[in-house]
Amino acid sequence: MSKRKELEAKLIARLRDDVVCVEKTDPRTIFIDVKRAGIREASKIITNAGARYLCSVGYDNIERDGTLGMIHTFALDDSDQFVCCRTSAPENDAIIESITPDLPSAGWSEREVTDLLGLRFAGHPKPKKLVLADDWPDGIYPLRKDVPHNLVPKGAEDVAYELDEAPPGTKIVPVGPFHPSLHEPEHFAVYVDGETIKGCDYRGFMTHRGIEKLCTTQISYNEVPFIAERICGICGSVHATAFSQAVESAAGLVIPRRAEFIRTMMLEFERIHSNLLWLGVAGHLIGFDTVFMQAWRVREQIMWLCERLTGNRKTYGMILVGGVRRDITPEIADDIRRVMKTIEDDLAIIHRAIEKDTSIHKRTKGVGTITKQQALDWSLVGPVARARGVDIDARRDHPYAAYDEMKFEVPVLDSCDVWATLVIRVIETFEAIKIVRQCLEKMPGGEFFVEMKDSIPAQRHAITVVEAPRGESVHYVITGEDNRPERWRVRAPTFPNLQAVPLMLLDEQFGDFPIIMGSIDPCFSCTDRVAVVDLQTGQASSISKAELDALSRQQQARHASLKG
Amino acid sequence: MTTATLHPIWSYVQVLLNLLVFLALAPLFDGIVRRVTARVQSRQGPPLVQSFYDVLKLLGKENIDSTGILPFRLAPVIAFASMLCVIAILPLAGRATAFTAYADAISLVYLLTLGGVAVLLGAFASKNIYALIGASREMTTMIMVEPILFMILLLGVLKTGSLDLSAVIYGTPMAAFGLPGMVMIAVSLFGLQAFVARQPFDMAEAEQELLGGPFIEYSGPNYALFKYYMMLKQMFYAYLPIAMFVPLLGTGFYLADLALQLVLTAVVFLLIGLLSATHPRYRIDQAIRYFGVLFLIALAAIAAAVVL
Amino acid sequence: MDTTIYPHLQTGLAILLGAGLITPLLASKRQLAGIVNLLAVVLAGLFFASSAINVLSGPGAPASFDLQLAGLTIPLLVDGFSAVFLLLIAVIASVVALYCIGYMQMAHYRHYSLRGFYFCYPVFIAGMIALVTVDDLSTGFTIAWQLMTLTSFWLIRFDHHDPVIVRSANKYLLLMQLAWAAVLTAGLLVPGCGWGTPLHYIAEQLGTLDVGLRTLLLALAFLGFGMKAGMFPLGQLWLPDAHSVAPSPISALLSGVMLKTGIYGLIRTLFWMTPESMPAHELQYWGMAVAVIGVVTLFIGTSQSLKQVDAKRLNAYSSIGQIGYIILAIGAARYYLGPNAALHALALLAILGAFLHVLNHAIFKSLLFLCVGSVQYTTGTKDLDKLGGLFALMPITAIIAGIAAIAVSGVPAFSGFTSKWAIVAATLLSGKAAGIFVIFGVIALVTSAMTLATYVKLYGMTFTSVGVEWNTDGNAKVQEVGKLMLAPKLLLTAICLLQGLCPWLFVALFGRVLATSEGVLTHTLATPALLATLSERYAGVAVSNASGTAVAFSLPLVMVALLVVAGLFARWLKHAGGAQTRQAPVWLCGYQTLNNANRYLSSHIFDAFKKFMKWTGGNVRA
Repeated sequence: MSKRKELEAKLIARLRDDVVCVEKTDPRTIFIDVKRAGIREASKIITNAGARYLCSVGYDNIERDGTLGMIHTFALDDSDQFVCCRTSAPENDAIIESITPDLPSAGWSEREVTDLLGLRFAGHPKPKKLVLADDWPDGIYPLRKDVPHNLVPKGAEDVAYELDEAPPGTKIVPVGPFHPSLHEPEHFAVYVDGETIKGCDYRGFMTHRGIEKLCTTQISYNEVPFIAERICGICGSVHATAFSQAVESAAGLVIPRRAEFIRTMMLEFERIHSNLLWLGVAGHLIGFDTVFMQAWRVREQIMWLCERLTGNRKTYGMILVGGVRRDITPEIADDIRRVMKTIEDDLAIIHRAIEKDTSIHKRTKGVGTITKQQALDWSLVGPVARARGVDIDARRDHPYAAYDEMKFEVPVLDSCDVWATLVIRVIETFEAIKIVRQCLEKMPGGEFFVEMKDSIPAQRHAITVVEAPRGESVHYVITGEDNRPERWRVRAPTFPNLQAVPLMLLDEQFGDFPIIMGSIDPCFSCTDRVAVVDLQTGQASSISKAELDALSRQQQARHASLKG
Repeated sequence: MTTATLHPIWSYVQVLLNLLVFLALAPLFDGIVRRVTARVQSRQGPPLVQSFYDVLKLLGKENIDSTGILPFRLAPVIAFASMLCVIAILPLAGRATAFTAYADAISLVYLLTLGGVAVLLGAFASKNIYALIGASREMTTMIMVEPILFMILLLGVLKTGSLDLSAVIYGTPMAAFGLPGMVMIAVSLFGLQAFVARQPFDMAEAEQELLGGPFIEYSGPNYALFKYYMMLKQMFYAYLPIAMFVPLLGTGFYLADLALQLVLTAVVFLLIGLLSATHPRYRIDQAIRYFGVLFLIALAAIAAAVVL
Repeated sequence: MDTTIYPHLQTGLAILLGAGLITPLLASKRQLAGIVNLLAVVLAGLFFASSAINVLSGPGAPASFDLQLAGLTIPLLVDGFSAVFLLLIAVIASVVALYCIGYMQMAHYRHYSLRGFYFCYPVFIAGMIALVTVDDLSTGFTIAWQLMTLTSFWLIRFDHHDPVIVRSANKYLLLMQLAWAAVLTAGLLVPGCGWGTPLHYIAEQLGTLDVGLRTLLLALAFLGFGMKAGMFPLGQLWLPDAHSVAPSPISALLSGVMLKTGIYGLIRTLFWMTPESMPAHELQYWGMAVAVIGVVTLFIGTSQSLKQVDAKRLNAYSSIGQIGYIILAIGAARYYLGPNAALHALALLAILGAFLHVLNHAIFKSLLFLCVGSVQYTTGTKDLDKLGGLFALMPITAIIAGIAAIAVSGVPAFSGFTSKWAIVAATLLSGKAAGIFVIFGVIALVTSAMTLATYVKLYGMTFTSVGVEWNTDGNAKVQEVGKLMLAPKLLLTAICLLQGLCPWLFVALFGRVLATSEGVLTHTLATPALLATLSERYAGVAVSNASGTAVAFSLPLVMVALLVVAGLFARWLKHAGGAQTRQAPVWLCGYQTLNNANRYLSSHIFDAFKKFMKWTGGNVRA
């Protein structure tokens, strides 16, 4: 009996009446609808069957049946399956049981749903505000359909976020939102006892752009990939690919094989540049700026290559629903080969230098240690998980694009520290170069784009994962009317990884804070994508450059007037 | 030494010359470090005089005071003044100044500490937790490193039986230092980065963690004074082993001696630049252990010098 | 021979004992009792001072005097050496008495009767005076020691509602009685000596004994006085507890002067009870042993002090550390007095260092205790974790404490500098002749950097840094202490500055001490040739070698002048750019605003270093 069948049988046997239905339309995904009473039990059964928790998605179904929906998603990595466990609660009794006590990494997902949709979770260990600004007024849930995307509520007054109680004998070092080791605005309250970190509270979600709301209210499927790409300045193609795949899967659209190869290449380019970028940042965070400069010098090659390829150093605009925008010509293929060679050689030099540098060992070995079990409990992903002996990689476990044809190693180390993360990311860069070469070799001819002709039926659910350089990104799409998604949920790799950072920091030295925090390669803008407000003003900001400029000008004027 | 043959007025001129040499060259030497670092990092790097520009610019920039208390404003002045005093008493290239006869090696070490104290005073006055973490690291480094510097000087004290600076620094020919001298040269090389508070031992300022540590609340002219103080101190620490261990030319031409020493000091700065560009920052606990070992080696060298 | 020396001494003692009987009757009127106490102590102090000045200005050491008291014969001796201690006790006792007037009206003491306090205070002073003037180790010593110990015991347990305080006081009493027993045993066990035998006779007898017994007896006396002085490891047993729980003015007396009576005893033991008939190498062993103890004491004491979060405990541990310097100097001097005449000049320097440090430490440590007392008086706490930001509220106390803290750290031109300079120079210049002392000197120097760290912390955590929000309830409870409590501190500050800037005055005084004392120090060191190596100028002190070239010098006035000129230049440079000044809130990365949770505590400071030094003990937290 396949794992899938086994799981279905188990669920029905154990939950009986609580299971409403099991939908088996998609060969890769099982959708299970359960009554809200059985949701915690269901998720327990699913995880006990060996599934790994991905994320949770909340959605507004009030217009349809007066409920708020909640989906917990899981992955069965050894059999390439996803499990989506759906439930709902009526709007007037919007509360369901929390799964966070069993799955700590569900904590943020649930808090996010509480903030954005007003669905509450009984038994949540830390039911605090997560994504909304401190002064966001109570009772307005931005992701509900009745809230317009451009709502500007009046900010609540005298509201301050209550940080967690500091452990006895400790004091708070406020890190961020403006701090040199954070490259995006987020706030960590680090509880230190002298030089030792005894805990940490996180108040983030300050990079608010309201992307999910925007894409479900304003634009159409074909435009979303360009917005998705702008979720992140590093792994844009990842989000664009993931979204496109989700839509293609929902629509049952099959894209040309050549396009899949090109997507694979773009993703690997991104991996190379992201890994080099991170390597540099990691060097910088331990005060080793030479590593920073050299890694970025090497990285520059790939940036130029992408510029020649797509016209942009970043935010390539290559990925479309239905394929890609540009082809790889033979000339550019030669160019790619040459650049790959240069990068491989240069990186080999850096790699050798780092490998033998005892002072880098001093700063990274045994730092940020958490055990494999903890990594599993917190559903860590990407190099951070692989450095803790968790052998997962979406490219291999849930192949997409052309990864099924690619041969590559998934490095897994078990020293559980920052050093292992560093080694893994360097090795993965070499592997990425290999994959790019394989793509060039094996790429079939033919079309690279197919137009989506039929409109996509509403209320279809689809989930895809894409292995970003820093771990897997999960996209969940519910199709909607008006040629746009009804709900689109993006879970960036930082979302689970960041939740485990306090654990990694525990009992480490404060001097190691930057590198431990940096070791997960946090991408706060990916993580924050959803919320709709600017911290200080409660102002909704849909994004056009002119508007943004006007906003920042306003902001400055306000500061000036405050000063005066 | 040679002062005896000169008119007393020259010893006062010498004070001015000392100050001039240090005030003029310290930023340039700092520039050398920046250039070397840049080259190691495949960068062009700023012009050599960039550190001058920095100080000049800072002197004119807005001075932000977040404390409103006297110690905060006083600290940079004390730090800078104490370093000027150290320079004024230093016998440069073998020639004593008018003030060398008024301060011995112990006074010199305590004067150097005064500068450190001023930094700490300013940091403690800043009310900023980053400044306090930085200050506590700075002080720790100072406790461990200052004695190492002193033991380098002590070698001269032991050989000449005098604490007079001219005697301590120039009173012993290189060869007479023997084995302990060799060990001390090694110690001063290994301690160099700690003396000048650069990577791997810049954990007090640690930009990525502490945003400049003790200096976080300083800006404008106050910060300019601290910056200048750091550069002067750095030059002093780089110059001292040269003066101690590299014999004077003995040509009788003061300027030749001076030029040689300064060129060698520049070489030391080249080394500082190379070392700081090729090391990450150590954590404070790692640094303490390193200093501890260095301290014991220096102590062993002193013991050897006493016994041999 | 001036005949007023002993009568004045007795008159002074009589006044103190009389005051001890009268003042308690007025105790219900707190201020009045304080003033009467002050007048009595000052009057007695004047008598002591007159007696001391008579001795010091005399041509040589005065003769001893047998006091007949209730059928007991108590030999008294006020030589130059005692005279200095007399002066010191008189000055500090008077200043502290002035401070007591204000301090004992503290709200916390409202429910305590001051009767016992004002009985014990003058008697305590009398006990200390007696201890440094009696010339035996039995009758007179016992009376003096017990007067001092019992009264100080009651003073320490003044705040007796707290069982911890009572326990500390009991421990103090027990250990001091052990010390007494040790010294008394040493005094009585010497063959041919009994109750009331003067010191010089004891010394002669010691010279005739065999090595083992002599060593034992000297060791007993040494242990007894060492216990009082706070020598490692005995000092750690009682000193921090007792000094931190006593009322602050009493702590000032304990740390400032009472410890010095232990030093007095140590010096008497090492230089007066060691007859010249003893073999030279045996004396050098003693010197070496004492120096080693001194080094250990100063290193351990100071590193323990660094770890403290209670301001008074910090000061108390630091006292152990500073006493260590003095013990090191005494030991070095004893060692250098050996057959190698080349080292005699260094012996002179070392003993000068000890002498100066006794005086300097007495002043700056009293001052520090009084400052901490003032802080405790207004804020009600001495816990550095709870203090902070008082500079703006108590500026005068803050500046005074700053001067005292700089002095104890040995910053040039302040009072600790010259004494530490003398001690360190004396160890370093020995070179190959006494190599181990060079190592001691290096350790002493490391330690003075730790002292600096300790006091930067004390000062920063009390006066600058982030404060608890004081005076939030509207009434300005936390403010500068009154004139009555500022005046004594200002007096001591003036003396402290004088000591720092004009060490030559005290070197000159030291010359008089040698001239008006007997014993090995005077005989060996007060020769014109040796005294010539130590030249005091208005600018400072210099030591020259045999050929007359200066090898070490401490010239605070020149340094101050240099620093002032350089400071003016720095100030000019700072304003040269014409930059505007603006007030702005503290930068905390833009999300949190400054609050009590962002305050780095005293117990956090130097965390890494404290962990590194964990093995030295005295850790506040596990």
